[in-house]
Amino acid sequence: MAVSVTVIGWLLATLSVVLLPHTLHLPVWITAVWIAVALWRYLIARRRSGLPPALVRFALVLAAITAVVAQYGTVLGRDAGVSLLIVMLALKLLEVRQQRDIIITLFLAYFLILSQFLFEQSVLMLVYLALASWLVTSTWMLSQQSVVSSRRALRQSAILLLQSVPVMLVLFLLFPRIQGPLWKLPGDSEVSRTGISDHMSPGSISKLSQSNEVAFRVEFDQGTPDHATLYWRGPVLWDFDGRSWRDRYRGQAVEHWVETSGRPITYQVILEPHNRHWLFGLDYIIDPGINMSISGDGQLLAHTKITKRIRYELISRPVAHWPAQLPAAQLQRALKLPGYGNPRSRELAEQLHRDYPDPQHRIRQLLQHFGQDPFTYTLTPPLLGRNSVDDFMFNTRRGFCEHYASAFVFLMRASGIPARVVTGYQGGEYNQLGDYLIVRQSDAHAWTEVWLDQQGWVRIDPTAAIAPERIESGIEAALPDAAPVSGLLRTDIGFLRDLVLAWDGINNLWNLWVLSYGPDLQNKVLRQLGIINWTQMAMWMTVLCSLIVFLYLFFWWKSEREVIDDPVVKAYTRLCQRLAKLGIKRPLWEGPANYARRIQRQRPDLFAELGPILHDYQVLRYQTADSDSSSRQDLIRRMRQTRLKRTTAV
Amino acid sequence: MMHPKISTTLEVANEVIVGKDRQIRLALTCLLARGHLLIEDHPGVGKTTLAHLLAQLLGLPFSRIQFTTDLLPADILGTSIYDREQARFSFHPGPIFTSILLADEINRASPKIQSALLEAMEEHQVTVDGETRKLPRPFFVIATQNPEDYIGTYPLPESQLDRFMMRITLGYPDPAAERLLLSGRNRQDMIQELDTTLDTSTLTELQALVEKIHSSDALLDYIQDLVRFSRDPINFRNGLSPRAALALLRSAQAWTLLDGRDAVLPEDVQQVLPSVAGHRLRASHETQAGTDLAMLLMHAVPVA
Amino acid sequence: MLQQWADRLSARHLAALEPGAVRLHRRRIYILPTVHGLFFGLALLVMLLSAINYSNSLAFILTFLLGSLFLLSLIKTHHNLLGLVLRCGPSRPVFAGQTAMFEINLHNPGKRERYDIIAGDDTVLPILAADSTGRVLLPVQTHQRGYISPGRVRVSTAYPLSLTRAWSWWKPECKVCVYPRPETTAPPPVKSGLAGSGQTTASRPAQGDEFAGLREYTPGDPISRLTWRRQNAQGMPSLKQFHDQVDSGLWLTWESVSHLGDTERCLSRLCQWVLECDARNERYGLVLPGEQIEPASGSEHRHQCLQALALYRSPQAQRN
Repeated sequence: MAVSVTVIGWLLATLSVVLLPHTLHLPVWITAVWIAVALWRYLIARRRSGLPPALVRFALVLAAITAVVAQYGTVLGRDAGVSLLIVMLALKLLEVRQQRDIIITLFLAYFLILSQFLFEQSVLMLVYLALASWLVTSTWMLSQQSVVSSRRALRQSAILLLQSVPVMLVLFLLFPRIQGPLWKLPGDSEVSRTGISDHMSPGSISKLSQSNEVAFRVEFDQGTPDHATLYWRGPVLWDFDGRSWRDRYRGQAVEHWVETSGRPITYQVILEPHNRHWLFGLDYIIDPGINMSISGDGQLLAHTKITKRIRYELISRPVAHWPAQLPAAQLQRALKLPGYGNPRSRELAEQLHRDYPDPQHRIRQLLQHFGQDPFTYTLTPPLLGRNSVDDFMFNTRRGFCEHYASAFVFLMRASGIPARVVTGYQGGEYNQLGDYLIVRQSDAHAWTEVWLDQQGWVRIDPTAAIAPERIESGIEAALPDAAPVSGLLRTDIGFLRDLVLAWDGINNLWNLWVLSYGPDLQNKVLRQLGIINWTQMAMWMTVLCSLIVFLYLFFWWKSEREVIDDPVVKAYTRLCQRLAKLGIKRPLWEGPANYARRIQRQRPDLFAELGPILHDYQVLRYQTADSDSSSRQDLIRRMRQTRLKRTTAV
Repeated sequence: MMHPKISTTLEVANEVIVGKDRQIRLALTCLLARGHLLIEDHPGVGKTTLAHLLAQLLGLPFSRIQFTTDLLPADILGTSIYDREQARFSFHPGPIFTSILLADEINRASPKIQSALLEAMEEHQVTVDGETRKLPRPFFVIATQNPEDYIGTYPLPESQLDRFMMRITLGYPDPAAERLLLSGRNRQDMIQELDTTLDTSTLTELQALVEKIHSSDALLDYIQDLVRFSRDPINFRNGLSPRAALALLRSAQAWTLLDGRDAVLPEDVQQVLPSVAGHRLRASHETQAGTDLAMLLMHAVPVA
Repeated sequence: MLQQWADRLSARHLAALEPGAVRLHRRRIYILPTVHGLFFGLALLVMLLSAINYSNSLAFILTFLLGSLFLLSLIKTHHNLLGLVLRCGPSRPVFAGQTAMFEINLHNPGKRERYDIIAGDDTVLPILAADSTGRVLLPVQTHQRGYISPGRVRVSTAYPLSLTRAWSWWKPECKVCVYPRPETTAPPPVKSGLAGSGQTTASRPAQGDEFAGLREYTPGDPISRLTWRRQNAQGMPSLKQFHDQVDSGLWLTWESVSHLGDTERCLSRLCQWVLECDARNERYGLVLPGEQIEPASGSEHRHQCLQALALYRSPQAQRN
């Protein structure tokens, strides 16, 4: 059957809707190919001209495969695969002639929708792709109609899809999940993500701070602690090269790192993937969970890179009991400075050391120095020269947390106090609607720790000295209005802020219950329902799906069937159906008397028993003015109970 | 049990007209249901004989009008003629003032005559010179017409066909019956010698009884189903009118009475359906005999 | 291939003709996935595997939604046929060699619309509204005179997505009368007498008193019989024709054509003659061995004559 212009138009529109989100992450040339081919195909349909010859199409296919291979070096894996799929889909359009070709392109469209989920799984994307699926299904229906009616196709496919939802939910919940991947495809996880990195140089955190992305969310079991205490410990940086801080010897995991005490805080962290090993937690973590460990400097490390959203539970206690002396190796690292550079700062440190022999005084004096001198807290610090610490301390005096932390640790070490930089996040936004804390990239922070004998590692946050609001209530409070922080972050309008929070709440639930519904969560959920193994899952799945199908059938049947009000007639119809199986079929128009006569003729053996019943039925229905209910009941009972013996016809 | 007088009537009639048991039954059904009968058939198959026979068996006055193109209304209704002796107009009733009227070849008469007759059939009265005159009771018209489409004839329009309760065809006799006809006595003579088997008072009584034959709700449902189906324009161009529905019920009741039962069964409706609906149904396209359509109707409507 | 096998299997039980209306109930509706459906199943499998491989919840959702869609479309396909009432409609006689159109009435007794119901091989009824009747014409090529039936009729549907096809077999008791093929090159009807009756076939314009019809005026006709009620295109009057009642009509007899030898050729010629007489509005009768139709005219008479020719010594004549 030929394909009408309307259907081609619908097909092109539908496929374009399906492809739109893909254009965001695919090379531009693929989008261009798509647009060109779609326009070409549309013109062919409009002008009713011929499709390009097979040789041309073949050449185009070869060119497309070559181009994809040139782009990705392979045709396997997510990105290359999707690119190839789209290019092939575009070329397939050039040979859409019949219904069958349309169906093939629509199959591909479903695959494209699926592949889009590999890139993004947000609620909005689901809504968009649900609409796209609706369009694909409608186009499908449209291509099958003998009389094309777009409205009908839209309406009916919407109904069909909505009616499919219950079975889909059952399958989603109960279909046994196994831990993927079944096989590894190239390039599947190598995506760069924003987040705290393994080194810190001037400007790296202030740059990160401008991102409004969620880093992780935290649910506290008993109330959210005070904002100022929320230091989410990330990488600990020891090694300074004059400009950047690094951790050259990635912290070695230790069996048991420090004794803790104080009131324990229990919380769950739902960490967005950042493609690194580290996890974030509050000081001081008691016990890392499975698949993670803790290093000697308190970094929480996962065994594999975090490429998927994960959820982990931690318990922290506020007080740590450090050993009396810092081990020699650590002491050496914590005092080490490059052999050259920043002479003025070194001089300042010398002076501090001279004036304040007590380390505690020295620290207090330096913090006071930051607070008193015209130091400014800003997201847009000026660039620093070769001697970055000197430049900051004596020239620009404008900086973000990494500037202060870096300068502070430098000066501490130069004055003989072991110190290190700690990066991570500070604070977070409490979402009342979902009762959880949102920590964004804009909450990225850097602070320091210094070693004091008898006390151990003590957290010192130089930022708190210059901009205490940052620590008390967050970055918005600490920054002047002019600072270019992304728009949403700075909403002062109450309801808009509530909306943003509500939306984040939805996303959080979405992440927690839908996106992370894998083997573990399924196991947990189903265990609550008493379903413990695959056999039971399969059984419940079958039972529930059948139940839904039967419910549909029942309601449709109920609304459809011809209303036979009279139970006597119902019983009679059933009797006739039973007789039909014995070969005495009653045509719908045959009256009871004739039918009885025919039975008598064809099956006298049956008639002996049936005769009186059929006669009484006839009398009741056609020869009695009012029948009493007992005789009706009696007749129904007799019609039901009569046994039709299957003997050979006489 | 069948009413003894009815069974005698049927017996006697079957002796005279051999092999037309069903047609005689239908004619009698029509008579009992106070309807008029249209016989559509070729000349010479015994239409007149049937009418005559019924008149004789019922002991009712009988007259026959041969319809032609030049017939005037007065020829059948009657005229007022000036009576010199009494010096006033006196009405001379036409042949229509009878109990059994055989209207032969009704489709040859002009529409004017047809409508005069049909008014009489419907209202049991005629209007002559502005004066309305009652017709005798019972009044039973047996009209005949040749199978349509002669040029120069005036086929009865559908609205007027509707006034006949039934249309039947007699058809040629089968060979055995024809042999009897050829070897036996003259039928007219036989009829002349017959006694009345169903007197007027019994007939009136039976006619009253017809309406009392029990028809259950289920049966009325069935009749309504039939009628409703016939009105679906996709099935037929002409559906059954309310008058037709009533005719169907009455004739089914009469058929039941004739059969000696006291409640109408769907089978009774089906027995009379081809005759009652046959001339009223028109297919939505092209030719097909009305009785075929009636069978179609019967087969299409379920009953339980 | 699959479909053929299923057809054979499902039509096995269908032997007897089914008179009257037939309701498609559950037990006589068969259903199988189409080729599209099989490929759809395959695609679902691939989608499921990729969902598992990437542990992607939304991919699972999409896969399961489409799986569920498959299941529902199966039910809907089935429902699109369920309860449908099939009936034969009136059908027109044809001449041998012509295509007989069997009218099939599809009645939808339910409260929902039905779509794209296919009767026979490819006659589609796009929409069947609730509580209404639709009509499809099933063409059947005729070759022989006699009665012809459409045989097994398949009523099927692939609505809504062509993933599954439901079908039901029906052997309707409808028949169309196939007249013999008229011999277009036949000579005009032979005037023939009927043995012993003394009747002749001639129309006698000047005698008789039974009005027989009108014909076009030709100069020389008696003026007293002119009528102006009917005129031809040139405004010429018509001439009233009268028959003598005893002596009316043309007899078309078997004897007059029997020299042709072959039964079918004889019938073809008689058929042509009947048509010619009918076209001229003449009265004519038909005499076949063992059968005689009195002279008359009109469409019903024509049908009667042609039917007699159609069924002459045809095996179906005995059955009907």
